[in-house]
Amino acid sequence: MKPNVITHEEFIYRQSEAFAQQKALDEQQWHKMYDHEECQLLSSINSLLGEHTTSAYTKLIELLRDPHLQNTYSDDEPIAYMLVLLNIYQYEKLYQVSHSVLEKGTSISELIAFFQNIKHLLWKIEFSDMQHSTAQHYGNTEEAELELFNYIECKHVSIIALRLFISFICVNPEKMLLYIANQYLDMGMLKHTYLLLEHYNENYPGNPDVEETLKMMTEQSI
Amino acid sequence: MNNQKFCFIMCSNNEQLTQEAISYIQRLEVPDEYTIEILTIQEATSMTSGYNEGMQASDAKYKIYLHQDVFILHSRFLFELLDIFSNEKVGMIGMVGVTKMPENGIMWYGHRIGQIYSNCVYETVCMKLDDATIPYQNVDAIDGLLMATQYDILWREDLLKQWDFYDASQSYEFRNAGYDVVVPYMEHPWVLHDDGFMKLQHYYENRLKFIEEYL
Repeated sequence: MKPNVITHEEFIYRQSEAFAQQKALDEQQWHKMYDHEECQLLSSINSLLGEHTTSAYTKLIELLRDPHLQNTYSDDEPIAYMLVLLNIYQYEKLYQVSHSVLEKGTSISELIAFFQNIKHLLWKIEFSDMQHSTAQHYGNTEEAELELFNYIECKHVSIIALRLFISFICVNPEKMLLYIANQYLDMGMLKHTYLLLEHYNENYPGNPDVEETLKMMTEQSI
Repeated sequence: MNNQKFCFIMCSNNEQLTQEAISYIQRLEVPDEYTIEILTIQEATSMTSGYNEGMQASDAKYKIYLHQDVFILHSRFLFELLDIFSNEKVGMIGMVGVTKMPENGIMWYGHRIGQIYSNCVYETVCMKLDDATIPYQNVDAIDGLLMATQYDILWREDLLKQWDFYDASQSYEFRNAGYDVVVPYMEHPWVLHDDGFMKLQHYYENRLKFIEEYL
């Protein structure tokens, strides 16, 4: 986690009544200025999602590309989820994925529910690994993996989406990318393995085993 | 009062999250001769009233009040609680706490100890504040994400009628009753908080109520 470095004076100031009163005013002001716009924004997003078409998704990207909206609402939970999902969607478009992440629902709440499912499934695997817990929690990792892979298949979740979900969701995405890639390799799903390792290599370069595997797979035209 | 029973109490408005939290509770190792109970309070009008409803509905000595989006990862969590609660002066245990409450009553801005995994949509991080002393450290107040008690003290639903400052208030209620409120030393976080972003619309009005009552 990146340290949030502040001066001692700032640390003391933030404990003061004056600071709290300023924050209260800021909060009040925000709601006065943006409550109505926020409501309209959420309504527009839901309307576009409900259309369930590529052109609607394009309009959604344009809508949320607005720097004002991004600055104002990036800490607004439904908008934050949409920003992440649109990010994933744009990558999926680059790879010409046929069942995009935005098609998993027709409203913000449906997409958040889908996102939550992915989170919960990934965490079940991540936290069954000893590296994060003093005691193993989710005893049966295989069961957790099966749940995840079944969900991915059933919901047509692309590997492009999965690798990005891992980056957003996991505490240790580097390890999880490798772990999931290995599971796909064991299952003989080489294209999935390749795409995960490709993403790993872009974000965490310098792993000779990964580089070697990617080279070999490229030579075999996987 | 059943001295060998744990009750998990959650105010719930999201079935998906609640079921996930319950699935983690059901995987906890339960000490021999002990039982667990899970109560979810639907349509609570405030956290304090919801928690009072849960408290009064259970005869469990040990009550764990937690948010519906908190997942307990540490399989021996209940053993840890019993260990700490063997000191009868300890009334309440939390995962994160403030060692000295700031004058403005906002515990996030004080010196905090403890650790959790926390997700805020864009990332999941290991939020490691300062370590508590071994085996645990007294604090002025604990964060409401998880609050475990071995005594029943009514939550102040007369004072706090929404979803803020119930944690700070209850911490002070316990301390005013002569009990210690503590955060344990943890090697790794014991819980994951699928937090998202907070709504602070009524936060600051409740802050004034807290300050007037306790500071």
